Amino acid sequence: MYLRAYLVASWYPFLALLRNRSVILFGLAFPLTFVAIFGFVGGGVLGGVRVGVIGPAEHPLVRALAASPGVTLVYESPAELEARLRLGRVDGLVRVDGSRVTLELNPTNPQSRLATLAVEKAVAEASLQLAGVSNPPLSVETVQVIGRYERYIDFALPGQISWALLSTGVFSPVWGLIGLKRTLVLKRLLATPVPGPVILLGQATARLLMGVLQTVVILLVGALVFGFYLAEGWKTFLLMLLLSAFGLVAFLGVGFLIGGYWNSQEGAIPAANLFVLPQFILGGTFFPSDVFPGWLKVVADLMPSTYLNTAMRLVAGEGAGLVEVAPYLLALGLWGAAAYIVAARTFRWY
Amino acid sequence: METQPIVEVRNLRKHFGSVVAVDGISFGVRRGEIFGILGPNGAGKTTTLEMIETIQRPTAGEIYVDGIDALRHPDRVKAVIGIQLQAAGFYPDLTLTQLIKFFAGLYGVPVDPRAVLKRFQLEDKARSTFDKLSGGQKQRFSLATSLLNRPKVIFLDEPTTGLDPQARRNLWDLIREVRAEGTTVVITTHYMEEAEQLCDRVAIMDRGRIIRLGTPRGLIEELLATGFRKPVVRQEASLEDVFIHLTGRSLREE
Repeated sequence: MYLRAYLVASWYPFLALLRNRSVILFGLAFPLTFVAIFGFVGGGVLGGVRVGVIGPAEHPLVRALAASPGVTLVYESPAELEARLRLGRVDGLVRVDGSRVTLELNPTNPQSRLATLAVEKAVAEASLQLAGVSNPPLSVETVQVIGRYERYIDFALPGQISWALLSTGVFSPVWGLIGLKRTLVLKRLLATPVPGPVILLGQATARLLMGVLQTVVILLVGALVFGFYLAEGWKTFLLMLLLSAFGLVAFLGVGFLIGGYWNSQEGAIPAANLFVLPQFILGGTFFPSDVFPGWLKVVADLMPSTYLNTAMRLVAGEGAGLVEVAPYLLALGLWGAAAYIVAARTFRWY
Repeated sequence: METQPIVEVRNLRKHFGSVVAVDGISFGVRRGEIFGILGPNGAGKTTTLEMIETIQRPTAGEIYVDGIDALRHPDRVKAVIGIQLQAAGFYPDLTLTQLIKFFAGLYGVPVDPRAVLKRFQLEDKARSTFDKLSGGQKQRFSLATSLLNRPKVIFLDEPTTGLDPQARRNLWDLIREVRAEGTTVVITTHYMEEAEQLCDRVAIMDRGRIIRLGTPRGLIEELLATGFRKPVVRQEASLEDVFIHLTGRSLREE
């Protein structure tokens, strides 16, 4: 009966959201910036092992090292190489003098273990060659399996999606509803024959559209530009959208609770920050909750964005289906239901 | 038929906690008149209007609009009234064309936004947003949207507050036009000159009560009959007459 009015009450507020700078800034620009940063960071770590060399380049060991995949040799003066070793700009330093070989390492550099492996392998090859063994009794054949290396972007991107959704789900209705109260828009809408709940449903739908649009953009940029891993391609993409919509509905409950109860930003913004900021830090946005001490991990694991992040990482990274992530969605749904129940009792139109 | 009031209010009360905003008022608005509710700030004018508009629920009393019980059928009342809120009520980020389509959609009526804007001298503002309008343009736009659903009665809450004399006179002309087309107008104001020029009858409110109701001329005669005399020489013109004479009646808007 009110379908037409509902569509109108959703579409025009959606158009207004698209023209709103803070929605675009917090919901799209910030998350995309972080995605880009993490995308580039993730690509830069795999630069190979850098080994400084002091000694003749035609030495069998140096030749074996040069032939090793993933090893870059660095020739500089001994003083310069020693300085770079201490700074971690080379991962190992090899001095070759006839049959005498020394390997200097900086143990604070995590790459030094890779440098050790590369040098030991080259020493073994060079020794066999010097001993005249062309057909060694033992040899290793390396077989590569098809798999993937979990890069930081694969962890970070779901966190950025939930951050964008948290921003659209909470801050947008808080700013929005209070703004609409102060400019009397909400009162003017209430004076039309459209029932209040339909007006609010339209407000929520406008933000749901906005949130799904944000997820689409972040996922597409992540997947096409930074190679974000989607376990089962388009199917995973659609499932991610479904999870986003579900999470956003839960977050919107909190947004409508805060924006509905308060009539001025002075009270509402601290309340919104109290809900959002801890989740930004603890809710699995940038790093997993495993890094926290026990009691903090308990708190972190109960946060709605933790549930959403965990579900999204399982879906995107491991190809989990709805059944596998159902427990997380249920917990998220409980958060949302609690918020809507309180919001319905405390909502004020003006 | 002709005698049945378009708006009828009986023993209307509104309490906010221990504060009595509207203290048992009764009045009727006749079809086709411009009815003014006058009073200082805080007299209860806006609360009274919002209860008739079914935005606020009365603590006690009865309201009938066009014969419809407003407490029982608020949605039916909303369909036959038009409202203008104090200087606001529109999405700041939408264009005037979008806003007209938005409200027309909510009222479920077909509307040609260009024709509406043209009638209220806003056709060149079709692509502007509401917050870019001048005060007079905002009030004209607000009046325009209050008429979208072809209401039988419109409620205007302090429509001329903050306007310059030209914009105020322009809005008076538009309100008279609306009335001439058969729409009843209920208006609140605290400008006595405006009430005298525009209203057929006025109710004077103070502290939540209606303390006088009548035609502007009748109320003045009533006061004079008590022996009241203004302690000044009668002027043939006011300073506002001088201002309008010098600066003209045409609208000053960018």
